This record gives sequence, structure tokens and C-alpha cells, in this order.
Amino acid sequence: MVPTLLVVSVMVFVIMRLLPGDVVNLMFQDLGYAQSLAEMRAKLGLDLPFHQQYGRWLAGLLRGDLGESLWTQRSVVSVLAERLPVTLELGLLSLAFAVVYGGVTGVLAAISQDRWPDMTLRSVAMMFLSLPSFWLGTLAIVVPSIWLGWSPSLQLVPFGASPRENLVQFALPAAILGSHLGAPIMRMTRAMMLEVLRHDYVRTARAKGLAPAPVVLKHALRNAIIPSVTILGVQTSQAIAGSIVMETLFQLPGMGSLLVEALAHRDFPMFQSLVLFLALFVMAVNLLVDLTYFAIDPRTRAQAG
Amino acid sequence: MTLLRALVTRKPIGAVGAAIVLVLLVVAVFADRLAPQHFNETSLTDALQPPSRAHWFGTDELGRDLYSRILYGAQVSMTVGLAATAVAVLLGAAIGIVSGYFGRGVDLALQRVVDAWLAFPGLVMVIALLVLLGPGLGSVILALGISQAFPQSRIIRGATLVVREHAYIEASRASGASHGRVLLRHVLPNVVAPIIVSASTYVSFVILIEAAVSFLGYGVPPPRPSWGGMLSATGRSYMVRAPWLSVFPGLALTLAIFAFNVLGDALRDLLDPRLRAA
Repeated sequence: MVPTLLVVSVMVFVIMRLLPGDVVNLMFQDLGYAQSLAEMRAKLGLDLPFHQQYGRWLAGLLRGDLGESLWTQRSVVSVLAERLPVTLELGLLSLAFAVVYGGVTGVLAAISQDRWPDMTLRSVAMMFLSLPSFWLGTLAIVVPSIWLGWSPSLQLVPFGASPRENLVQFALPAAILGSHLGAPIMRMTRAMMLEVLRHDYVRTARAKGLAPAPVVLKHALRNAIIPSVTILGVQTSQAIAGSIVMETLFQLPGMGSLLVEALAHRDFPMFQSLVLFLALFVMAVNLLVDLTYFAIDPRTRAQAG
Repeated sequence: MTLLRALVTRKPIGAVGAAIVLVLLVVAVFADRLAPQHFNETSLTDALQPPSRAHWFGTDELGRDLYSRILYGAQVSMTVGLAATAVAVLLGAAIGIVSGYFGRGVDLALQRVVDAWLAFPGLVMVIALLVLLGPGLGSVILALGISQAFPQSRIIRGATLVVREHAYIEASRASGASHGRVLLRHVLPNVVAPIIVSASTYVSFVILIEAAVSFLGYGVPPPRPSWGGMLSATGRSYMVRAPWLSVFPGLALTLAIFAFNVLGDALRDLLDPRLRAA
């Protein structure tokens, strides 16, 4: 993980410096709190050679100091603390939706293979896979406002202030994102269930007189679910991408919109640290996925032990 | 030909997808003949007209015919979808084959870079690449192609690792063939199948990402119409007053993604029985 993180840090650092446009110019024109461009550059530490800038940033990271926004002068950590809960809530809710939707419909489709529930659920999954979430989100805002005169609140209600209103506010974007993320889970669960249901041990379980429900849930699902857990790792990074779009559309002040802002402002420390943080997060989730794998698949344990 | 027959007889939905793709390609190529108006022909007196006989899909805030703009929009989506996938496949194949064939240090170094890229928030890195490359259709293709090359290279590396162990590779090396010759004549032809299979599923993803990036305002610059861009700029500000501006580009986009999705699924099932479903 550490070497990969180092490569991530170098890559994002280099990409940021290669971008045309410069925060100093942008800020000098807009805010003007220095006498000259050179003075401003020095204030922001951008007059140093690149390797020193990188060294400073890395040294800061090791101390847990993610730097300061060039634009607002606020520490990245405090901005992160403010924005992270929004994205985390949106991401977790949509992943939860995806798992429940994908898992349940995947199993239902598999046990009714090639009959109408299966056909319907597969078509729905294909539809969710093809519908761009930002379009679905736009429609979800437009349609109720035309027909019902109702539109979702575009002002963030913190969970602490009113848990109910907060959840109502997040439900729509989370469901939209979750349906898109859940479709591959549904397809994977269905495919694996079909494979597992043909195995001898499932036939044995049926033959000894077990009711259909325990056979499916206790015997088959446990084995069928494993590849879906792997997908979940991939889905996490897709959830981050999706949340950028959803946050823009529903005007939720989360990490996604922050990243896009930081990039537009060429806010080096903010952008770099955010990307590094997200990369760490994605890697941590993938590690967690591996560990879950280990826990639910006894075969991997036997190999390791 | 046999593939086409198998598609029609065994995968009817995939054949429907193929037909839609074909129609979209024709629309993209002949947009200037099929469209009633040029995509940038403005008429302020006709601004924000609802769908009518004169303007099937209505008009936008500058009085431009939305139907024409959607036909032209197919050009961007199809070009980006196919060209960016081609870039991703070529670059991904190069990285994957070299990494898998040479192994050891080369593999280790390349795979760390791939790991790093896969850990990045993908959409943001595409936008960063776009800012780096400057606005334009070429940049969109390159940015999406590069970003998709890394996941693509993983698949091809895996296939190469299997091929590398075969006796004919060793025989070829022993008979004095250079690495370049072995790679091109023996490794490449044997990893073509997984390359085609994974590429067919990438096109729809690339179209989707192009639209998302355009929606966020970083895509092909105006006035050139792209479906994602139409949803962003005009669609959002006139969402309630002129809902047709958000409905039709989204429908076009969904249709295109759906078509490539079902076609990709069908091709994968037909070409690679081991990867069925999922």
C-alpha cells in the first residue's frame, strides 16, 4: 500500500503542476492581497523548486498536516472534516441501497430463471445500468416540481439538526446512485446463484427435504455472494465518481464538489491531499474487501492457514 | 458472418443493440444531411418552444432546433466512444503485454503505476487530464482513452501471463527470435480475444463518462452539441420551464448506452463462454 500511495502522490503532484493556469494569477486578479505576483508566490511557497515543494508536502503529510488551501487559507483537514460526512453519508447510503437491491433481486431472478420475474428484473437492471445517473437525477428534480409542485431541498440539512429531513434529503440521490451501482451486483449475484444452484451439495440439501428458502439462503447464497463482494470494492470508487455528479446536481456540499472546485482554482495542496486521501480510502476499502473474502470464504482461510 | 448469424439467432437482444448502434453510426456520419437545421442555427424568436411539428423535440434558449442538435450530438458520443476505446485498447494492450511478458522489475514498476491510477478518483483524474490537454474533441478522446487504458491493461496482463508460459513462446525464443518478434507474432495474437471482449464492454462506459464530464462542464466545448453538455448547460437552468431540454438528450444518451451494453454482453457471451453473464 505504501509504495502505491507514494506513486499516487508523485503522480497527482506532477499532474497538478503541469496544468495550465496558476492559482497565483487567479488569486491576484480576484483577491489582490499582495503587492506583486512574486510576493504572493513566495507567501504561498510556490517560488521553491518542485522537489522542495514536494518534499514539504510529503513531510507535512507524515505529520498529519495536509496543508492549507491556497485559495481560502483554511487548513485542508478542517475543510475535509466539514465535507467528508456529506460524501460518506451519500456513499454509504447508496452502497447500502445497491447491496440490498442487487442482492435481493439477484437471488429472486436466479430462482425464477427465464420466467417473467427473472426477465423483468434483468431488464430493470439493464435499464439502471444504461440510465446516466445525472439524467435520472435531473428528472427526479424536474418531474415532481412540474406535476406536484414539489422539489427536493437544495439546502443541506445536517443530520444532527433533523435526522428525518436529512435522510429524506439524501434518499433520492442515494437511491439514484444506488440503483446504478446495484445493477452489476444484481447481475453478478444472479449469475453466481445460477451456477451454485446446480452444484451437488444444493441438490443433496434439497433431496434431504430442506425447504426451498433455507437451501437458497443458507447453502447457495453464502457461496454465490463472494464475487459480489469483490465488485463492491470496484463500486466504491465508482460511488465516489457518482457522488461528484450527485453533489453537483443536488447541491450537496461534499468532497466531490470540493474536488472539482479545487481543480478549477488550481488549489494544489487542497486537490493533492484530497486525491491522496481518496486513494487511501479506496485502497482501505479494497483491503477490507479482501478481509471480508477471507471471513466468508472458508477456502481462502484454509489456503492461508 | 458466423458471428453475425449467432448474434441474430442466439442473442436477439444483442442483435437489437447492434441495430441501434448501426443506426446511431449512420446518424453520426450523415448528421448534416439528416438534420433539418445546422446545430448552431439560432433564432431568438423561436426560443424555448415546446415540441411541435416544426421542431419535433422543441427548441433551446437560443431557438436552436433540439432534434437537429441531438442528431449532431451522436457525432460526439460515437466518435468519443469508439476512438477513446481504441486508445484505451492500444495503450492498455501495450502496457499489459509488456508488463506480463517481461515480468520482474518491469512488471513491478508498471503495476505500481496502474495500482496508483486505479486508486485515483477516476472522474476527477479524467477532468484533470482534460484541463491539462486543453479543450477539444481530441483531448476528450485522449483523456478518456488514457484513463481507461489502465484497467484494460490489467486484463491483458493477466492473459499474457498465461500465454507466456506456453512452450511455443520458449521455442520461439530458443530459435533466436527477438523479444519484439515474440511479442508481436506470438503473444499478441493469443491475447486478442480477451482484448476484443473487454473492449466491447468499454464503449458504453466511455460514452457515459464523456457525458458525465460534459455535464460537469469539461467536455467538448460549445457550440458543438454533445448530449451530456446539453443536459448540463441548458437543461439544468431551464429544467422546469422547458423540460424537453433535459428529456430528449438524456433519452438519446440512454439509448446509446443501452445499445452498446446489450451488444457488449452478447459479444462477450458468444466470444468468451468462460466469462458468461456477470
